Amino acid sequence: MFERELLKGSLGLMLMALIEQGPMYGYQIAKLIRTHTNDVIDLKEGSLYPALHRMEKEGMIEGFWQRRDDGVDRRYYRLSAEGQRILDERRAQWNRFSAAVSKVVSDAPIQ
Amino acid sequence: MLPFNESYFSELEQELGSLSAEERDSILRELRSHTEDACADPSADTFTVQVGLPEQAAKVGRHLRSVHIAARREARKRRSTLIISTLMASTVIVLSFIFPWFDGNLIAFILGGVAVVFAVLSLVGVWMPKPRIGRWLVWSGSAGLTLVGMPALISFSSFYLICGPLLLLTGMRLQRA
Repeated sequence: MFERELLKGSLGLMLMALIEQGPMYGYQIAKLIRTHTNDVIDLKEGSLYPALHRMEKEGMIEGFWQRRDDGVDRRYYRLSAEGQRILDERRAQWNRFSAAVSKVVSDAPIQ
Repeated sequence: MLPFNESYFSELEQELGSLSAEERDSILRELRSHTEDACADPSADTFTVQVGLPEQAAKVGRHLRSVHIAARREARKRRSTLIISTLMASTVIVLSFIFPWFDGNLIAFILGGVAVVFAVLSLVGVWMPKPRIGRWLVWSGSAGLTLVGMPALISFSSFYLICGPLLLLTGMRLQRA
C-alpha cells in the first residue's frame, strides 16, 4: 500500500473534505474513503479515531453523540467555522502542491 | 472467540497509548459503535468485523489501563527521587557554608567552597531537561563531591563521602535515557 507518513500528511485534509459535506460518523468516513479511492486507501480504526479526536481538540471539527434508531449511540462529526477556514486554505495548498509534484514525477520528459 | 490480532492492536495501542484515559475511553466507545456498524453492513470486509469485536476492543482498553497505572506509578517514583536528590544537594550546599567554621582552617574553607560548586553542578544536572547533559552534570558534580571527602583533611569529609555517591545514584536514575 502506501507509506505511513504519506497517508498521515494528507489524512486531516481528506477527513475535513468529507465532513464538509455534512455530519458523518467514523464508519461512514472510513467506508467513503475506501469507495472514493477504489479500495486504494483502507483506513484502519486505529488511525482514524485518534486523528478525529486530535482534530476535534484542535477545534477543526466538532463531535457529538447521537442515538440511532436501534438505540445504539453513534458519534458524529461536523466541520467547525475554523475547520472550514483551514480546509479552504489546505485544499488550495494541496492542489498547488500535488500539481507541482505531479509535473516533476510524471513520466513526461521535462522540457 | 476469535484470535486476538496482535499486529492490528499493537498499532491501535501505539495511537491510544499517548492519549488520556478519558479520550481513550471515548475512542473505545466509538470503536464499539464502529463494530456494530460493520456487523450491520453486508459489504464490510470480515477483517473489520472480526478485529473490531467489542470484547477485543475492551481487551485493549484493559491493557492500556494497566499501562497508564504503571506510567503513573513510575511518575510518582520519579517525583520522590527528584525531591530526595534536590533536598540532598541543597543540604550539601547549606552545610558546606557552615561546616568549615568548625575546623576553622583555610583547607576546610577551600574544600567547603569546592563542595558547593560540585553540589550546584549536581543540582543543575538533576533538573536538566536534556538527559545527556544532565547525566554529565550529575556524574561530574557527585564524583567531585566524593573526591572532596576522600583526603579526610577535614572533619566533615565523611559527609561528602556519603552524599556524593547517593547523589550519583539518585541523579543517574533520574537522568536515565
